[in-house]
Amino acid sequence: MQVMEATESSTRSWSLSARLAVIALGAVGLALSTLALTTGWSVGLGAVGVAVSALLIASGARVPEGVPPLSPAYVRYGRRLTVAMASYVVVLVAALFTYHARWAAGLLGYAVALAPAVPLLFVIGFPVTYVRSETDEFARAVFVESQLWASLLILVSATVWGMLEAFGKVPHLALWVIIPVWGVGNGLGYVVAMARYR
Amino acid sequence: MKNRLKVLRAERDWSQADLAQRLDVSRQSVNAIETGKYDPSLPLAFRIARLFGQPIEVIFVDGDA
Repeated sequence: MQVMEATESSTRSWSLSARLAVIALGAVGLALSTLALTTGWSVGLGAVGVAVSALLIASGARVPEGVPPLSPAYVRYGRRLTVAMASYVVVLVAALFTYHARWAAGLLGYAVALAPAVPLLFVIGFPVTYVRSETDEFARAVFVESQLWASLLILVSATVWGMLEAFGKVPHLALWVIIPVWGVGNGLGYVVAMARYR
Repeated sequence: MKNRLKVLRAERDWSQADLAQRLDVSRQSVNAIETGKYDPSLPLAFRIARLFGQPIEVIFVDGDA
């Protein structure tokens, strides 16, 4: 009984903010690990980083059953996100392995390069399906606002970094970094949006 | 927008979670509406009015009127 209570307590202690923070941390870790892999700085460290980051994202996105305020639509969203991010990690590692082994040439090279983007395209699209299926209008409003904050963060970051980069003040960044920035923006955006209702 | 949701809920001895369950929304929704920080949509306002058996304008008070 004590174990059950402890489990329930620890499950309930995972607030949505905490989960989003863990997901954001995982997204940042994933970005850095992928950078380590793609630049060839440390393939071993990068691979471990990808795995740990994926675990962080998966544990953050895991939605405990019966914990308010999660709606069935949000539970589905969390599950889809987990599956897509897990697929992304597997496909990314496979694509990097193929690339470094010099197996991908010609058209196959394009397919290998695009393969990791496919799960991310699903991740980008999931908010639309979530908002359409969410019946709780307050949850929908908070989620949409968090998405707006994420868009704001992306646009501000891209504008500021882009200008600094154009004038040679900062190094070049690959465009895919907007995905982890978006993830961080979603997490921060949710906290900001919810702060108005507390 | 001000409202009498908390009073009506207290009269029935319902918790926020009870009301949320009856309205099929989250407890956070009820809390945000009760505290006047979130104005419900017209369909949800009608649902609330039906649940308490009172006209919308009795439950929600337009401060600008």
